[in-house]
Amino acid sequence: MSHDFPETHWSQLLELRDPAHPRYAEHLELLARRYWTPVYHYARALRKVSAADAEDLTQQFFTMLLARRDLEKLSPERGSFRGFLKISLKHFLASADRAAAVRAPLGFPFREAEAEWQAHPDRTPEEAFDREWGRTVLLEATARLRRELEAAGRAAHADIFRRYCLEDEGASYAGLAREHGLREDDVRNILRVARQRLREILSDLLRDYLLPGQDVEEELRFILSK
Amino acid sequence: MNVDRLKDFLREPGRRLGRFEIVREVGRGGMGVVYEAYDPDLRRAVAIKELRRADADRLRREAAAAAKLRHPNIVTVHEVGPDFIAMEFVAGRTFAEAMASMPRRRRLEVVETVARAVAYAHGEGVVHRDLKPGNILIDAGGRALLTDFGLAGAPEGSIAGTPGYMAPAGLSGPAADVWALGVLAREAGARGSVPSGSAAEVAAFLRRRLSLPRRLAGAALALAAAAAVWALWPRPTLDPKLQEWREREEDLTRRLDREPDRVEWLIDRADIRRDRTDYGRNRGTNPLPDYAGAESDLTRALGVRPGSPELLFRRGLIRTQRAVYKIKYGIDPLTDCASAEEDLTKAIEWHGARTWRGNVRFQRGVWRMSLGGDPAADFEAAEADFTPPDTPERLMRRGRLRSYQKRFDEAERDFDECLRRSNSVWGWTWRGNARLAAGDAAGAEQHYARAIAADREFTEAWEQRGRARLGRGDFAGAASDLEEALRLNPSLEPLLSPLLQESRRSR
Repeated sequence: MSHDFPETHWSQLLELRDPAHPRYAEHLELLARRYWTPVYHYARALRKVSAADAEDLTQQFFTMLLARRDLEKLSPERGSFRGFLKISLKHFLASADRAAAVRAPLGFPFREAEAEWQAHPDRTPEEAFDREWGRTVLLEATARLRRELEAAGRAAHADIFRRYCLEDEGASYAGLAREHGLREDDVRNILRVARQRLREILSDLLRDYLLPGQDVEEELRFILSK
Repeated sequence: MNVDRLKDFLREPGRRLGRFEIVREVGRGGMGVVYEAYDPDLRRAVAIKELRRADADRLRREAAAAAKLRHPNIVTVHEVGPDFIAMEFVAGRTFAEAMASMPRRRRLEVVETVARAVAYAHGEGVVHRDLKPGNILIDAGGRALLTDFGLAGAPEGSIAGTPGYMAPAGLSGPAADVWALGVLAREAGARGSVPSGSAAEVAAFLRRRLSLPRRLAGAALALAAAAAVWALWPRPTLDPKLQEWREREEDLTRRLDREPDRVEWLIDRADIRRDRTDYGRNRGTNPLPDYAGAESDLTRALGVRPGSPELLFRRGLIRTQRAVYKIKYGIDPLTDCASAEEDLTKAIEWHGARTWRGNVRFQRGVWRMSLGGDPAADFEAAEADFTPPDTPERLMRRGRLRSYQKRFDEAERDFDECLRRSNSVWGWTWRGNARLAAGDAAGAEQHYARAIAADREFTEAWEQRGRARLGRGDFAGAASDLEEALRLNPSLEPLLSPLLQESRRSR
């Protein structure tokens, strides 16, 4: 089902090698749009940074990144897009670049990111970044799984998955079995298959921003541990 | 979206411990993580405790001792692996969580149940060592189950348990459990001085409290004194039949200690234990320990004479009877059904094996049906086993099967033919059940009456006639039948007392 993944892979980006390549900026911007919220959370977790300041920092950071196209500094040992983003962000915050004006606001939906931040305002910047990173990836994978199930005419499976895994007060096997007229064993099996597929989707997603040869399982463990 | 819940769902997916597939983490304790897992062979949920490496050896030994316990109020240990213990999965809350919302009387009932379970375990030589509300589970139907036998996180002899429930220095083994029971009883709201001699005494003490009507609580002291005098009065305590069995059992055990491989002695002892379950089942004693004992005798005998059809048949019978007992009390019988079916299939040439296999398949269908599942495959397999219906036994069983399939006319023909050949109390009772299921309560009553006439101590028929009369609105008749059933078998109380109350209220 990989056909509905955006054609943007971190490894491909690095393989282009030439920051002047027309596809370069396009790739980078697509990645930024997928993974900007961890940057906002990181900025927000810095002491004395208000929501408005964090918004500015996030926009400035990505504007700088996109304008300067300074990925030529990257080498394969820099590793994943996640690692790259974090290191670039630290450099950016420590440097004079932050004074750069925002030329073209990127239009990120900050209100949602702020609401998510407010749920756990006492994390360190590192924790906030990593956790939000994981959440973003999980969100993406989950949305994909639900689209897949619905496209395959399995609305009941999608509903069981949503109710069991995503709601605050997760439903029980027995309750779901009753509601859908299934046996508890069926519910269990549906969830087992969903878990299996979700893992595959997650692995595909993670592979997008890792380099060939990097351990997808390890990255998955990292995300689940945050 | 709840990300943490999703992470739990994904964490260690597809991971297995032994053959069990981990489904999700349900708790963490001193000795490791507890998971809900799935047994793909037997297609059921299990609870798995993953043991910390450092303690695994010792805990495994203790779990192996606990695994021999078979009691409706003790969580069954299914399997002990190298670093995990697989147990019955109980969906529900712990007593610690449920206690606050329970009325005092209900709390005392739970502790009384637990005390009886502990008394049974002590009789088997197994000590719990960490009795506390967190180790008592209350399932969806309100049944209390004791878990984590022998699994307190400390080695033998050193201090184990949980502060508050821990016995003072000097008390260990069963005495420490009895101490913890006392604390539990007190916490549940027991007044007066809780005995500290044995778990059975604690249970009896609570039973007496519970049997006092609430409004008489003020006069309880005088009654308690009278009860104490009565309890101390010398009188014969043991039924002569049980006495005789016990003596023969002890004699065989002594002989088997000297010559452990004597198959005929093992069969004799298994027979005693089986007879005792039949006798005890109708008199309110828990038959599960004897089923386990008989099963283990026959397993030992099979070690000496592998593949013997006679021994396989005998063990299959025990396992089937245990499944039937469990179904009656709402305990999952599927393991027993599967192992019984396997034994009886291997012994299929043995006289009667096919009929019994049909019975175990029928029972499994009934269990599935009671959970809202589809019994068709089991029922079909059972019917094939009852064909050709050339004995009264097979006719009777096929008649019962057909009444469950709602083929009432065919069922009636089978019963008619069967009872013409043999005046069986079960035949009359099942025929009554079939009439009842077909909506003919008056006809059912007549059949039950025939069973009662054949054997006035046949509890099943009293119980069923009580149910039929209740359904017809004959409340006085229902009450007197149900009282008789309860008099014959007090252990039916949890099943019958709601019906009895209903018939008395309506009378």
